[in-house]
Amino acid sequence: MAVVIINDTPVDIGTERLNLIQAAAKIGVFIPSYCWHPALSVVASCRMCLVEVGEKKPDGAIAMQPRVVPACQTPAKDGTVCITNSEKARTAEARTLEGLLLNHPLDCPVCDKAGECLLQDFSYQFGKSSSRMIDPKNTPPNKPDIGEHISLFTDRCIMCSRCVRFTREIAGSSELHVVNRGHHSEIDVFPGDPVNNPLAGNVVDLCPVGALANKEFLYKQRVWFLKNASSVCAGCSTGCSITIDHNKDVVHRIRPRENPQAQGHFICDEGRFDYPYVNSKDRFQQPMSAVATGGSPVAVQAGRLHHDTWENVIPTVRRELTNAAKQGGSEVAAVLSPMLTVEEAFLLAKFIKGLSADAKLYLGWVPTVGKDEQFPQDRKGNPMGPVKFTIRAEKCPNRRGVEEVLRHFQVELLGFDRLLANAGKLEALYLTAGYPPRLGAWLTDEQTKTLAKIPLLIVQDLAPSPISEAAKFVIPAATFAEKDGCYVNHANLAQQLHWAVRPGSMGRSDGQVFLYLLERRGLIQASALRQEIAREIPFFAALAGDLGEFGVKLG
Amino acid sequence: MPIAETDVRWVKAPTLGLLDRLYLPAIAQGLGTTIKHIFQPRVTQQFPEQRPDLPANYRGLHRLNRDTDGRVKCVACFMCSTACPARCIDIVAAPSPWPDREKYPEMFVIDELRCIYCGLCEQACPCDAIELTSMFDLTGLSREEMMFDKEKLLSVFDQTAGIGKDPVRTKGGKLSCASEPNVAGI
Repeated sequence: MAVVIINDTPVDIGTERLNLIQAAAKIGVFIPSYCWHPALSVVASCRMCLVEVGEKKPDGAIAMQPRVVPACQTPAKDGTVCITNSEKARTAEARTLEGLLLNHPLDCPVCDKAGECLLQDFSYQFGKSSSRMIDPKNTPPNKPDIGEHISLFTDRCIMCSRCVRFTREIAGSSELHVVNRGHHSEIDVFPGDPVNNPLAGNVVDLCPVGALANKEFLYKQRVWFLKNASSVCAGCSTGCSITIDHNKDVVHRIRPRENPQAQGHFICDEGRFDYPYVNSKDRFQQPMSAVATGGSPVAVQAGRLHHDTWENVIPTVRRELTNAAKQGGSEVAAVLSPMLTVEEAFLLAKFIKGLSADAKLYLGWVPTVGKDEQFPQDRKGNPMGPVKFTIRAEKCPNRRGVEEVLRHFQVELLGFDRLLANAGKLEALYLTAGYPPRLGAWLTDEQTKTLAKIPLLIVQDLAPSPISEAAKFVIPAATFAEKDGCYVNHANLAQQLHWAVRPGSMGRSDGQVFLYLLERRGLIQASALRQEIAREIPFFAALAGDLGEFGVKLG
Repeated sequence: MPIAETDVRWVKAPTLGLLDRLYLPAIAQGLGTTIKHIFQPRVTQQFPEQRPDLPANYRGLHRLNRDTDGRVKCVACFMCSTACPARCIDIVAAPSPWPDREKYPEMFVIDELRCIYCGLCEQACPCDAIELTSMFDLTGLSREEMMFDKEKLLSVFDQTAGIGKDPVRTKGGKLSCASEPNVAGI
């Protein structure tokens, strides 16, 4: 048991291996730092975390070191004394900031980081408002092409080297380097070797100032206009915790949210930059039907899809499915996409099984691209050292959750290939998809033809495709940013999604559509549904409680 | 909640005396005021034939200033739209086409009908790019016409810059390269 004394307060840190920044954080004492990051190695180069350190001897005498030392590099051990609020420590902080600001341009009004910049925050909190620098500042040229998605504003850099350590220690590809010395040091890449590794976007989050910028987000919004929703990435089965930054129903940025249970501190570029489809105008904005449902304002040719209203489409779909189930329950089927949340899969399964106990439920197409990629990996793509991040080949977020829902409702777990084999016998099919367009066409022409022969084909998807053209009813699907619910990742970790944006003025979230079909009243309430699921399905018993920030392990 | 009887104070109308009831002294007093004004200097202005002489810090129609090269001075920092209590400033920023600055407004629209002419945008601007002029008689035939875009706001600058009634500049200082055109960056 180790007791550290922080500003006269003893802190029991047990057997944890912490540095003084972490030990001080335990009692809410904040020590500012730029270069230190819990996932990266310690370099103590920014000197922002200078504190007074000493040792309490066994006889009770306290011996302080004569100089201030960096807290990030000082291990917290039994008897360590750390003082952060003395005149000496405060002066060291202010002097360090003055040094960091010597060459930093005061272009906060045009800098994208302004508002979430650590240099701004610490200058305000610990620094002073004026500079004694009278010489012209260094203005090295910007490097807008340092990466496909990343731009470097070289003059704003404070040389914390977080980005350099990230490409070396987490990504492994080591593209970024510090070149030159002293006040002329710069972050740079070798000519013709930009930062394009699959985790490159993280250097933008790691950058404590506005030096590294995300080109997709550059100048789009000032950060103080953004609202945040905590969610889960739908890109692969790792299920990284993310924060969706949005404003006025437009998703502007996706950032990683630290989750030690899921992925750690980072996310991959595939998840980070694959959001424009959420904002796409090409998505279905309202339901469509190929039958005259009575409410259509335009004269409709038989067999042609036309825009329709929810008030018409929902009762018609319910009636037609009920009729089909009366004629033969086994001829009715539904495909539960692994893009659905657990709650949505449960509601749809309940609706279809409520029509007829013989109705069949199939697991939707599980997209798999290549092999799992593990990081850090060397320049040839071989993993090296302990795995710190994994991009999984399974490009859907909730296969495990949907599978467990299916196992509850029917003994045999039927895959998508089984559906294609049985499609000839089907009278009615409710097909949910919602795959991001990055995965490309997910049905071959032949498969589309097979499914198009089903007389009552209901397609719930994001955007027009050959299969939606062949459908009798098209229901707009919602993306991960528009859903409330939970996803279960590859390791049975159930994490909560909160909706960020609304699915268009005429759109409805998938769960809401299923509530309509089930003739349940009210708006979808994910937590109430989770309680219901936890009662009915033993695997999901843990969903009854609060999922918290990091999610809960199931099974 | 009803008002408590103790909180109510009843006030009686004052009773008029004989002179008050005659009205004649009051009429004479009124006539006196009228006659006095005949001999005083006139203050009424014959608007619109006669234009008012407004002080330089009058808060009227906005303008977007140009720098010495005739380019828009604004660097699209969004400080004005952040400060705006009426939420009437809409900016779309883009990387600037000029080498001496990084950002410029691709679109800059002020809804002059929504604006409350408080002048906070002018105070917030770090490079004196937006200013309120003394143009006050703003009219339009449609709502769209009153959405002033970048070109329209720059043309207000062209109209008002030379007439010698420039708005009072907020204190400048070296805040952006656009506010100091002779210094390339700071």
